[in-house]
Amino acid sequence: MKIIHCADIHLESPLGTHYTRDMANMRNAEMLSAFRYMLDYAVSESVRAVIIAGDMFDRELISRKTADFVYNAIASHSDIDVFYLCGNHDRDGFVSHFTKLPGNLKVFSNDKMSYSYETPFRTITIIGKESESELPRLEESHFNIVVMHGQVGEDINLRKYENRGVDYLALGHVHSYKKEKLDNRGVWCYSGSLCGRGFDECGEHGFVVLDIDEKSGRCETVFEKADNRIIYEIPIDISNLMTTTQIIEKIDIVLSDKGCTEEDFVRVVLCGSVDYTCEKDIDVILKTFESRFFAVSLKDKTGYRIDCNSFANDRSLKGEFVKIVNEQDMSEEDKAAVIRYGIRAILGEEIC
Amino acid sequence: MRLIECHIENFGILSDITISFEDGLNVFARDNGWGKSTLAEFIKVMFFGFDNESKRDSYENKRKRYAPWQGGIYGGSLTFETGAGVSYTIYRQFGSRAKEDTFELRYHDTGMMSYDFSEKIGEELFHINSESFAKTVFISQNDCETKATGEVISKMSDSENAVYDIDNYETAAKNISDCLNRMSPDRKTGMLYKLKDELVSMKVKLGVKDSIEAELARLNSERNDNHARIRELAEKKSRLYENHNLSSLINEYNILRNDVLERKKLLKEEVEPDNKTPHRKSAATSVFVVSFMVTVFLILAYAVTVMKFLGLIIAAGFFALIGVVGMIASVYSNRAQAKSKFEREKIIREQRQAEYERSMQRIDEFENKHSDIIDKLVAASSDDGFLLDAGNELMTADYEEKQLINDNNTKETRISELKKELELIEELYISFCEKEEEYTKLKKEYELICFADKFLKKAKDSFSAQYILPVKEIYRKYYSRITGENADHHYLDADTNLAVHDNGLQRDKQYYSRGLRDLMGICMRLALVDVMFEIEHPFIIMDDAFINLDEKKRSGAYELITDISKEHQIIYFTCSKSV
Repeated sequence: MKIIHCADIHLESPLGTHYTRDMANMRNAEMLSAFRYMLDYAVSESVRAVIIAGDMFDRELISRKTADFVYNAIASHSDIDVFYLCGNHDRDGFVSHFTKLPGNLKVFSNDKMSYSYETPFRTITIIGKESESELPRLEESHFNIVVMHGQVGEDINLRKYENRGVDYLALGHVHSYKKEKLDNRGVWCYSGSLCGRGFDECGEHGFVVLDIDEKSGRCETVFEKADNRIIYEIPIDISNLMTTTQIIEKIDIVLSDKGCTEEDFVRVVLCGSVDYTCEKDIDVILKTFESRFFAVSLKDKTGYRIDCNSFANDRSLKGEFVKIVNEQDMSEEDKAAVIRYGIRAILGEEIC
Repeated sequence: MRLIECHIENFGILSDITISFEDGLNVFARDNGWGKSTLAEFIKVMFFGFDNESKRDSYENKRKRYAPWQGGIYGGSLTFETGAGVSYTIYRQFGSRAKEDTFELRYHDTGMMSYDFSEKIGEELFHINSESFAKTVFISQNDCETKATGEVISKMSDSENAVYDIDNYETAAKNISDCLNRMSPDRKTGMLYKLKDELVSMKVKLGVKDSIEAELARLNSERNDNHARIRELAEKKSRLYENHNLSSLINEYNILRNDVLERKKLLKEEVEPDNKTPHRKSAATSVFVVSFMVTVFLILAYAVTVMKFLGLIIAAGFFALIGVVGMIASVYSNRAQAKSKFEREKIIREQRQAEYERSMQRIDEFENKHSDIIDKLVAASSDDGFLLDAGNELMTADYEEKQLINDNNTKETRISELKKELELIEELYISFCEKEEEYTKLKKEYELICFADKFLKKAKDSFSAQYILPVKEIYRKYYSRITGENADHHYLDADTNLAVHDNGLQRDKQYYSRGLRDLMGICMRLALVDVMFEIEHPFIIMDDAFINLDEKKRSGAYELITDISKEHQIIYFTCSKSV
């Protein structure tokens, strides 16, 4: 039996940072269609159920439009069961829009925590619970999936789920895909968010497909991409470069190597220590790349370096200045920066 | 130290030239364009190699600038003698890059290789770097015009001419101070101040977040409490309804039961004869009897009146007859009465039985119909406290429920308002964090620039103290040697600006003629040489330094030079013949 595990869809996000109005609208529309894509995929791959481990929506109050879209999407794929666990963002906002929910939408609640599929060989049980509540007793002979929304290490203590017969912990809340072993029997997995929204969730985004072999009780998992846009955060060392042009050239090369396309989110982090005479104009660099990708962010984490010894025999104000700064109790980077400012001042160049 | 000889293979415009140098004063009278600056540069490069390798501009990049156009070996040799009396020859050849350069040092006397110095021989000999060396050792006519305060700005673009950068201190300090003001956290127009302001107002708006969250929490819990209470009430209402239904059933049941009990009781009781008929009968009878009696009396009265004694006997006999008839009648009626009474009793008994049975039947039917709640009924009906006034209670419960629902609706509205506010605040929070980062970064920059300012001043003071005071002394010495005048009224301020006190007034150097300024400049430079080079007294190269002096001063200058040449080798270029 195939089951899809996804989470953190965050439909109808406000999307303020890094987005213009138009971009935000477009992105939200993309997220809706990714959701639909996932359901279509389920149909075409004969997936039996889709588990949404929380935060389907970004907030509790959602618009009628979005609620209707989701309702119709679920209702029109009536052969698939959609299991929905509320997260910390959406609570029961969606459910409260409708007096009657689509028949294939199964909401986890304190009263109804557990659903089962009887197959000839094995029963597959899906339990959805709040992270604080106790895990009910599980049947060892079943294939047990437990759905939760929370942070491993904080609200979720993995110890409590070890050796309890859990085959798959379907988790939500962390926006990047992560899968680890739980115990000899099972694994825990964050499917990550369906679509990436910002630079704090790098990598690919999509959902996890579980292929459960009912006879043996084993299951294979495959990560499927649902988002065309990839979010990159790339550190680039510019230690040996001296000019803005050189820096732009290097960034160009690195981004091409990584395969960044104009659809993607790209964040470049400049790092390393540049020579104190290096000219780098961050605004120009940003402007150059802004139009080439969907969203661009540039962070400058470089420091300056200077070889104070080269000034040892410099019998001038400059030399004296370097000598004095070098004697101070400051970090090398700070010294280099101070010297830079001082020398630029002496030479009549713009200080900062 | 002194130069002995130099041989130039190819360097700039000079090619295949050998020049010998004498002790003391060497005068070279050459026309303009001969290559004086080139020679000067050659000498420097022999000691220090090329620097400024990072300057991409080919004019600045001296290596390219002096490279021979026509090919040939780019380099030459320079022979010199140190103060200790050892003679060396430096051989250098230059390629297109520093890696391709060659350097050789040989003892001049023996021609053997020497390793006393490396290719950084200039720094090792003089303890000064190439830049400073050039500035000290080469005195050109331009150099004499230094130290005029107002002209510092024109020097900014050509940093190499700025003597020891000390001129630049004032501008540098001003630039820094302007920059600091722009960034200032104290001035209202300062970037840091403005940023801080923004941060504070954002923080105030964010501060509301806690209270909003608290209110939301409160509203949520109150709403939940309301929900719980509504559920309680709903339950209570349904119980009340149940009770209500139940109580009417109970009443019915009780009535039926009482009925049964009564009928049973009645069965056991004596049947009270029914006196209705006798009463009726007796009433009619009495009327009949009375009227009969009256009739009889009238007849008897007539009879007595008419028949006297016979009439009496007839009357008595008549009365006796009536008596007998009456007795027979009453016996007969008693019997009839007893019979019908019996029958009536029987009928009544049967009636009672039938009614008892019916009442039992009714209760059975009832019990069958309500078999499911019969236990409750039995229990409840024996419970005196049960039969409450369900009606009033229901009304109260209904009312309270409506109140709570209304309250919740209000709360829901308020909750969604608050949630919207919270969303805005969360967006604001993200901007706030970014702004804070910006602020921290700018603050750090500001602090570092403050340090730069502080240390620059310290450097200037230290530099001045190291050089300026001694320079001042020597300067005065030289000045008076040249002019024969006292230089006590010449002052050198901390920024190495020469000022002259003339007749009690302080005059800036600019006040004086160009020639005089040149003189003062030269004395300065000579004084600087003395101070800079403590260990190895270098040669001095002068490039038509006295060209602007008047006759009198010039001769004084020559005297000075002659004097100095006892201690320093002087190479004096000029293009004028009159020396």
